[in-house]
Amino acid sequence: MVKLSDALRGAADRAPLDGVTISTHAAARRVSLHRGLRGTATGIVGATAIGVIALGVIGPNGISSKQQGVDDGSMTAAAEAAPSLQDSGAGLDSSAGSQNLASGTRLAFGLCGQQLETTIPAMAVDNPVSLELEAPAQVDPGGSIPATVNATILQHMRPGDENVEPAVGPRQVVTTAPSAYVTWDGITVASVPAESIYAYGPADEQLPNPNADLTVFAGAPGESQSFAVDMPLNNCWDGAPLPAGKYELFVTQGFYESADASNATPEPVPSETSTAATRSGGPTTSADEILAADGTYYEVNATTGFAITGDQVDDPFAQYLGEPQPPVEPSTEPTVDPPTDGPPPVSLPDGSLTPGVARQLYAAGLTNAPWDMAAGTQRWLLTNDSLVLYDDAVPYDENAWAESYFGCAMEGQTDGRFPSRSAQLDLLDVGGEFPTRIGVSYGWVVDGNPTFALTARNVSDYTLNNFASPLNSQLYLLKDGVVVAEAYGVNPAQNGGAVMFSATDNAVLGGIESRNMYKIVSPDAYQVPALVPGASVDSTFLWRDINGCWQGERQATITPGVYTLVSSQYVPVGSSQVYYEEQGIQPQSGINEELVDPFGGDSSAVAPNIAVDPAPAPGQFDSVDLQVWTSFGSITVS
Amino acid sequence: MTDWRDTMNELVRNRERALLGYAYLVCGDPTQAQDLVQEALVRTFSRPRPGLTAGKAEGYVRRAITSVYIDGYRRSQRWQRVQYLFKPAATMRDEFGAVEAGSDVADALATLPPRVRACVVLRYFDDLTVPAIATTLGIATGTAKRYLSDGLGQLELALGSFDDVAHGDSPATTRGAQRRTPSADASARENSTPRTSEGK
Repeated sequence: MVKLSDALRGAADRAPLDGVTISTHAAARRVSLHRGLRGTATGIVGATAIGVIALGVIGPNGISSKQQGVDDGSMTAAAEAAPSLQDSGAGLDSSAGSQNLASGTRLAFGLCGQQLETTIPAMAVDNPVSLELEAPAQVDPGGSIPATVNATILQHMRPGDENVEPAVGPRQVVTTAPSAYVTWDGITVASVPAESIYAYGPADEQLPNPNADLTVFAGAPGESQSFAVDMPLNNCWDGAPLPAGKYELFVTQGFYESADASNATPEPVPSETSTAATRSGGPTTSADEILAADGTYYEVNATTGFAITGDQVDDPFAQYLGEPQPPVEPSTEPTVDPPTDGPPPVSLPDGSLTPGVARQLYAAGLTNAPWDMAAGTQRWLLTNDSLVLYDDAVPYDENAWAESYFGCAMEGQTDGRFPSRSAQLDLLDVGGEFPTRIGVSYGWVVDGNPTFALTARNVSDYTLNNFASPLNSQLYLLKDGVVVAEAYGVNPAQNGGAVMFSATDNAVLGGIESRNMYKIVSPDAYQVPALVPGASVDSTFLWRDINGCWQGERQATITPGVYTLVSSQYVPVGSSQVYYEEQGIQPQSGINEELVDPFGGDSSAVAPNIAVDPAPAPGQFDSVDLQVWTSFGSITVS
Repeated sequence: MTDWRDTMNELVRNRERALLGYAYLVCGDPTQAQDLVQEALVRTFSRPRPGLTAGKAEGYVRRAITSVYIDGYRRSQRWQRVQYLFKPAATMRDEFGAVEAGSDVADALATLPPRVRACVVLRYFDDLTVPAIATTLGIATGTAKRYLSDGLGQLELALGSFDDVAHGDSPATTRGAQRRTPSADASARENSTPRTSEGK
């Protein structure tokens, strides 16, 4: 006998992973994004800061002057803001709350020439800090814009978890100088990022960043400190003065709040600040001690508009925005490189269904009428849209998928019914031949050796590129309109993937004349390069099993009875590289094909090569995913 | 100066194969394993973790792999979008044949439902206790026990007995074994031969 643990470790060692790699670049980019999403602000913008005591300590980056004091006026403003946010649902998932927070919930990442807008979900607690940003409404070109950032502690967090109730009692907070960005039409055109709070030592230990201009908030909520920002008005490409026009100034600031700093040994604040400080009380510990303790990190931002005087020019940054640019130094957390040089965006062949047309067709076919699931009827769902999914300006809604989801109810997040809004499109005719009765025992289909066939025929005027073949179809058994089980067909050709293409006209596969049938031996036989109008693809499957939906912690048992049988089929439209790009995976650049006669006849003809477009460069894609649902009527399970 | 990016790079540079192998064990598909590790890295490094070294990070990433896998099974939008890439048929694995043949633990694992598979991996690869498994996967301890029992029952049917499997959870006393009634097995055997022969 062997040990299961040994067998598992051996299996892991022998895993067929040749060529499979991890892209730290893609992961780092997403980590940077997530780390930036860890905070929010009160949305107080452009409020007047009064009574700030400027100390004029020039920060190491040359643009920040730490100021300190208690601002009665701003404290009042902040204190007033908090209850208003509470009333409006701040920190909740409601759209009303999010809208009220909109001006303060965009965080800057600051890549030169990149859209700065990043909307983040509101935290589930009231905001810990308010930022007030004051800057002149107009400035002259060629200089800088002086601004004041006033940070006020509204309440303390319970360290380590920003999504729970705030802590009670004084705690201590460390912050660094604000990072500042100037945007034109939402695009970063100038930036001066600050040093992050943390640095890492030789043993990966986390240390206060010696280059950061750290400031300690040592008191109870209400304590306020101000920071001066002198933002040079030079563009981030070549340092040329920003031309006349309207801009926005963004600032973002990181805070670290310790869990146990109140128990730490009190220590005087640094001399350059203590002389002018008017703190609201409480023991003071050094930044090192606070940062050494467990705690919570969050970021806050604020924005205000301003104008550079002079004659405005049209499209003032056209010469810089036409191509990818080298990165600028990121803000509190270094971020990743911008899109690298790559091939141009995928251009679809003439006559192809484009994402834009697909969106129009879908919008035109939308209906609120319930789907009666009569045999032979279809409904379409738009399950993914790159314009929404990858647009930083569109708030990510983690529950949005449920609006276009049909299938086994996911842990109670859906009611299992077909979405209320779907579309009727004349795009793809899906046909099927199924047994009228199947025997099921413990999830296995035991009635002989049943097969079923699926056919997908392009009935539109457009070519469907990168069409997901019937091998991707999934079957569902429905009871009273609710999915109770799902099944996949098993390809009887266990040879690495083969699809039979039966052409009804002269071209199925990207222009190949198909007077025969083709066996595609492909790394991804589940995708057809092109399905031209009128062409069809069909496959026959073995029906091996039926998987009852998981309901909570148990899987549903398929009981005898009459069910409605439906299938789903994905129709990706566009560059279809969103997933690969996101994961840093370059898709296969081509397929191998061989012409065969499935009936043993002459197969000497040589098929021409199939051109497959290269993957688009990161960020250069446009795609939507459609999903067609087809009902095949009733099937009896015995 | 070392930051989280350096830690991530060091981890991937030194342990990429191990992490992918672990993820493969969890999901049974190389492409999905790649996706799992990538997602687990994002989860692990998205949260500031003072003093996180590459060695410590590997533990976080392994935990995240299983939770990402389970979460993905439950509800991930992106996984739904690309689920056809990961569906069992895509790997061309004859699940029933794998159970009958009992040739390889990876094949046998692939026949298990996702949460059952995760439980088995956490128990016998990571040496987690049942309560720890329950905590990791966010399920009840009893549920974890049942998944383990079911999974071990099915694995032993395919691969035979194991030295390190507690007989308190042996297939003879588990639901996994009970699911395989003699009649079901007979039907399965009847069906398995022609199916295998057709798979050429």
